[in-house]
Amino acid sequence: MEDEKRNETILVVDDDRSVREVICASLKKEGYSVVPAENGKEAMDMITRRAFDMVFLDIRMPGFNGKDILTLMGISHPEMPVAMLTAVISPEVEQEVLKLGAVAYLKKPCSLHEIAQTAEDVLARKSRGEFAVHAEGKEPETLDAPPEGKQYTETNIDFGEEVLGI
Amino acid sequence: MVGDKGLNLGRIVRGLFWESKGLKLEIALVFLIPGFIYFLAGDLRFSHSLSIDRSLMALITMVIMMLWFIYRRVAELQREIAQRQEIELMLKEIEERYRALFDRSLDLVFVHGFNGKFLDANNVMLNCLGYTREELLSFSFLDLLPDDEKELAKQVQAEIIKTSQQKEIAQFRIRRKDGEYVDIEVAASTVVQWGKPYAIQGVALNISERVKAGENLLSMNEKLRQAVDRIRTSQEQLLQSEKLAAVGQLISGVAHELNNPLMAISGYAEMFSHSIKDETERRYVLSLNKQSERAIGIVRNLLSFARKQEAENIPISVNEVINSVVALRIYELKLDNINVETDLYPNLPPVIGDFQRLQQVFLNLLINSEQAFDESVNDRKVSIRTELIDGKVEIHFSDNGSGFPKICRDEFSNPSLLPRRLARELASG
Repeated sequence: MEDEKRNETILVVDDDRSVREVICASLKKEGYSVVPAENGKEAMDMITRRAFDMVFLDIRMPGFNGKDILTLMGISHPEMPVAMLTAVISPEVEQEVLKLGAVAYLKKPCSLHEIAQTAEDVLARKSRGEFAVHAEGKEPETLDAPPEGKQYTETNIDFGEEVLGI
Repeated sequence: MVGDKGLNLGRIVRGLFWESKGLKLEIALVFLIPGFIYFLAGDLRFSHSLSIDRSLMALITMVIMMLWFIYRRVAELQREIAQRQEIELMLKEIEERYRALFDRSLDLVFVHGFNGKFLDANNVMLNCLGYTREELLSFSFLDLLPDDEKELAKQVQAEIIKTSQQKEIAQFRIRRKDGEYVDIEVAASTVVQWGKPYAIQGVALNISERVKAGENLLSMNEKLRQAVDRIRTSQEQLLQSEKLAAVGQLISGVAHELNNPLMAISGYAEMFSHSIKDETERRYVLSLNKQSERAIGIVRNLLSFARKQEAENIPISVNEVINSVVALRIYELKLDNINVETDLYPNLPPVIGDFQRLQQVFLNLLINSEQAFDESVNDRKVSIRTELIDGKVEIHFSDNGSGFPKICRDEFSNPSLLPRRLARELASG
């Protein structure tokens, strides 16, 4: 498993540098391409620029927190699986983020092995097409196809703030 | 005084001759003027022309003068008698007015002699005390007082006799016929007869209701004070529990903050443990990993303890609760040289309860044990034992410390006494 080259790219969002780095290092060691983001805004920026195979997302962050990003991604990139990695240990929050579309909920501190295992599981599920929007029988909520009766104004989504205005 | 005819006649006679200031002059005139006429009549022409004897003339003059004087005197006496009658009427009216005041007063009015014996009392007084007039008149004022008030009564009486009145209103308790006591306020003064004081008249107010109300007020005041004390105590307890809640929040915050660095430490340790080839170094890194795992365990335990949760009644394992509490305190216990022995019944059935609250209870017990050890105990030991007896789970906590002083037993359940060390350590940073 060591230094095995993989194709998937993972976005790691955490405002704590040491945590971000250790996760990045461990995932890199597992052979993934890893992109770090240190806050919500940077994360949204990156997500709008390119597609990631999965995202590790912290909840408590300054500015946009993990729940905000999860909400935005549920609208703009529902196909991108998000695993929450947080120090917030609360069953209520866990329920909430799972409802918002998170595919896993890891409690910090956890072992790197657990993170790698989660990444592997999620990516396997993704490759089986579990997170594909059509597979769930739901039309993707995109700006191109507004639901009946609703009028949306087209907005150039840059950092995600505008999406909130819909 | 009024209507004594004999006395009147005697007085008229006496008044006629002895009591008038002008009597001697009048008597002198009665004799002198006829004498003078008799003396002059010898030379007077008109006595011859009238052919009246001069002695007769003198006699007639004398009689006329006497009659006139008597008439004047009688008229004077009659005036005097009328005046006296008027005064007597007035006195009677005054007496009646006094009687009316005495009888119809709403206050208790009584008269007793200088020896204290009752001479008179109004109906209000009789009704109030329940005695008949005859019964009351057989008592003296002191008889009706409780022993401790007799001295005061004597002093007041002496003051009245000396100064004819009482400077300050006195308060006494008078025994009723049924044995109950009536609180009264008395103002008294002397009563005068023939210009000499002979008795004491008192006016008293029944103040039993007032005294009772005062006592009620006092007891209510006392109750109020107790209630205020209770409120203050519970306020302090509330404050204490608020403080504890704040400490809990603080712990929770600190624990959350610790999670990130702990994650990094354990993560890197984990990474290195895979990559390091040198066996010794590898052992070091493994130790690093193990210790960080330990720290993570402590933090997790702290967090679960500090987290605020609604109470819930679910099946829980008592042994698990005990283990978590011991794990939370093990470091402190070791520092204090306290050995914890757990003898937990294997496969203990779950009990219905709240994990965290039970944790709190056990933690309090444990901390109490820790703090109860004094210097003299060397082999410090806390034993925790669970048992299953007749389908019931029994939990035994015991230590070989000196035990609770009796005074503390009541406060055993007061949580503010328990996490003293915790508070101390947080305060010292």
